[in-house]
This record gives sequence, C-alpha cells and structure tokens, in this order.
Amino acid sequence: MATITCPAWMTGLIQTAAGTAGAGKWDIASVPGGGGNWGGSFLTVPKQGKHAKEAAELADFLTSADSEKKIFTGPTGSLPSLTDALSDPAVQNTRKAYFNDAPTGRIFAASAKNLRPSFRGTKDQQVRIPFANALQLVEQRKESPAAAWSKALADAEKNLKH
Amino acid sequence: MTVDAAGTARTLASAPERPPRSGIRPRRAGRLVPYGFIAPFFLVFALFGLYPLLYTLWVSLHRWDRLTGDGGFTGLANFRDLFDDPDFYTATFNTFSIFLLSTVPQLVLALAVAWLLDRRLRARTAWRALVLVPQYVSVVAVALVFSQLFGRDFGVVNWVLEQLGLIRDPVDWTADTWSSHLAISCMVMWRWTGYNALIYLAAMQAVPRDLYESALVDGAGRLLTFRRITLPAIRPTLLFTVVISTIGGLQLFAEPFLFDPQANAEGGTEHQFQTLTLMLYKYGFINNDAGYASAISWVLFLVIAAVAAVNFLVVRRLGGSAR
Repeated sequence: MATITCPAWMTGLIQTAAGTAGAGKWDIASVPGGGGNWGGSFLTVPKQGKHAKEAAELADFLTSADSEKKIFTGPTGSLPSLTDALSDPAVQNTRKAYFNDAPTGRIFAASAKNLRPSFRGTKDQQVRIPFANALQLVEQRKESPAAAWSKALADAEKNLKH
Repeated sequence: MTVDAAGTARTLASAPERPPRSGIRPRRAGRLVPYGFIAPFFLVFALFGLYPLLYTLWVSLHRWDRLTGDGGFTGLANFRDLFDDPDFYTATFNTFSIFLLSTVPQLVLALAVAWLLDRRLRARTAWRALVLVPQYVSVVAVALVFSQLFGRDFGVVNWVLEQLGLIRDPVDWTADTWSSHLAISCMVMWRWTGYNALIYLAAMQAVPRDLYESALVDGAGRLLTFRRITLPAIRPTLLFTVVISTIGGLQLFAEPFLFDPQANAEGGTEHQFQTLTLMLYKYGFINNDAGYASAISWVLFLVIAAVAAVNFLVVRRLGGSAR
C-alpha cells in the first residue's frame, strides 16, 4: 500500500499530480499517535516597499478567518492558522470527494488542535541524521527495521560524543 | 600586504648595490637578493600553511566545540577515539578504493588518448583543446550531473544498462560500496583523463623522432614502438602524474559529498562512500567538534605524507634507472 505524509496543502498537489484517474483511490487518515509539524509559512511586509499599506491590507485579507476558510475548502486545501477558523462548521464539515470523501476538516483541525510544540535542541541535526539513515537503510533493504532502529540509537549516541 | 612589502623592500634596497657581472664576487647584500625573492612565498606559507597546521595540532589535543571553543585539554583522547572508531577505517578504505578505481583506469586511458593525439590528425589543435573541456566545468556541476546520470529511478546509466540487458532491476548506485565507488570514480575520471592526456602528449612530443624512424626501419610495429620507446621515454612524466593524482585522490571531497542527495557528509547510509575528507567535514562542520575534526585532519596529513614518501622513493628508484 502506497502512503505519503499529507499536510493539508498536499491534498491539492496529490489531486493535480494523480489526475482524474486517481479519483477515489486515495484516502486520508490521521497517523497513530497524532500528527506533527515541521515549519510553517509567514506573510511579511517590508517597510521599504512602495505599497506597504496595501500589502499589509492584502496580508490581513489573506489571513482573515473568512479567507482561510475559503482557501481550505478550495482546491489548494491549506489549513487555517486561526483556531477560530478551525472550529468553524464550514471547515469542520469539509469532505474531499477525490479522497474517498474523507472528512479532511475534522481530521486536520483535530490534528492542529492536539499539536504539542516539540523541543529542538542545539544538537538536533547530529541526532536527526542517524534516524534518516536508518529509514533509508530499511528502504534499501540492508537492515531490518529493528536493527536499523538500534543502529540509529547507537549512531546518535556516538554523534553526541563527538 | 606586509609580507609583500617586506620582500619587495629588501629587493629594491639591495638592487643598486648589485655589482656588475664581471666575475667579482657579489657582496653580502647581493647574495641575499634571491632569498628576498622567495621570502614572500615562505611568509605567506608560514601564515596560511604552517600556523594553521600547528594550531590544528593544538586543537586536536583538546575537547573543542566549534561554537563554544576550548573545552579543556584532553591529551590524545581524540586520537584514541578515532582509532577505536570503525567509521575511520571505513573512510580510509573508501578513500583508497575510490583513489585506485579512478586513478588506474584514468591514467591508462589518458595514455591511450595521448597516443592517438600524438599522430598526424586533421584539426589536431581542436582535438587537443576538446580533451581539456571537462577541466573547465565546475566540479560541483560535474557532481550534480553525474548524480542524476547515476540516479536509481530516472538515471541514464540504469536505462542504458537495462536496454543492453545487463541488469534486470535498476541499480541503486548510492546504496552499495562497489556501485557508489564506481560512480564516483567515473566523475573523477571524466574530469581528469584529458588533463593527464595532455601532459603525456607534451612528454611524447619531446621524444626524438629519429628513434621512431629507426624502429620503423628495423620493422617494429606500432605497439612494440609504444612499449619499447614511448613508455620508457616518458617514465618521469608518468611518475609525476601518479604523484599529482595521489594527492588529489586522497583529498577527494566534492564528488562524494554531492553524490549523496542528502549532502550531509555521511557518505551514504552506512558511510559506504564517506572519504576521509568527508568524515573530517562531518565532525568539523555538522557535529561542530573541532577537536575530533582536527585529529582526523592530522591523521589524514600523516597518511598523505606517508604515501608521498613512498612515491618519492619509487620516483627516485625508477627515475634513476630510466637514465
């Protein structure tokens, strides 16, 4: 079974890439243990711009609860950043016909609300690389998941030492 | 720059004192002139070569984070950990394996190309210029293009091999030791074969033509002439290219670094193509452990020095018997 991590905005990409032939063949579910977050987007208006005022108004418009609702229910599917918008019935009742009529509104809103910020220490990179290696080792069929996991732990431990 | 100023000043000051070339022994100041000329190199070397070398040794004896600095003297602990580290032996093996895989076929190929270019060809200069084209291409561009050629899913190399019926399943070039070493060696060969071919060509042109003529008169064929006249005549050049390729091969960095789509200096999931310089980079600039990285660089320095010494001995022996 083919799976892919699917942030809300990925629904639009999958639909475009898989085309009409893929309709009804995909479905969306939340992952065991709840979703996560890696990054985010921001709208910035530089002071030096010629139309700073209009740009700020545009940013306001784009991040208003109304616009965020429309974006989520539209083809792009990006998740609202305002918690009020998340609990709005329009968002909560959204379903995606293309994805087997999955209740994307409830799934993504719940995942966003349950999100707990994760701590990233100064040695985040050294520790993260062994785990990426371990996943790839399994993909390359060179290690069993269990062996790759213990190797990742050992390598991370080693990277903390030097 | 003070270095240049010092060197130039001394040269200029002593120039008028230089006696005419009339057999009179040059005075003391005059004898210093040559040292003045070579001084800039040694001053710059002391500043940017010797000082970092010694400072690196100092750092390698410490627990030293690149961001927080000196964390205390630890003696040879970094070196002890390094020699206990299996990754170090993997990296050493990879370095020599990729070096041999790329250098030996490369020099043989360069010899063949030079031999072909040494004949009367139409548009000879154009051919000679074309051979050098890979050298103009940035090594980063070479590495990125070759990484795509050796791609698992959409790479041209796999496609060609499949068309020829040589493989059934696509090769995951970065996944295994032999395949990754082969792919990286191809990059090195592509870049350096033409360069070495031109050096060989220059040496071949210096071989007296009458030797070939008398061999021809004696009825020697092309191959025999090549083996008995060309090869012995260019032996010093052969050794020169071996030395240059050795130094370059042991410091290989950009190719294995960029061959990995993650570009995290791991050299693959099991460090299967992590060279010593790549390992040095990992500990220095990803793990920020300047002490450990300094220890690696000193060991690398000693390894290269040892190989250079072996080269020197071989050059002296073979170069001597050639004359």
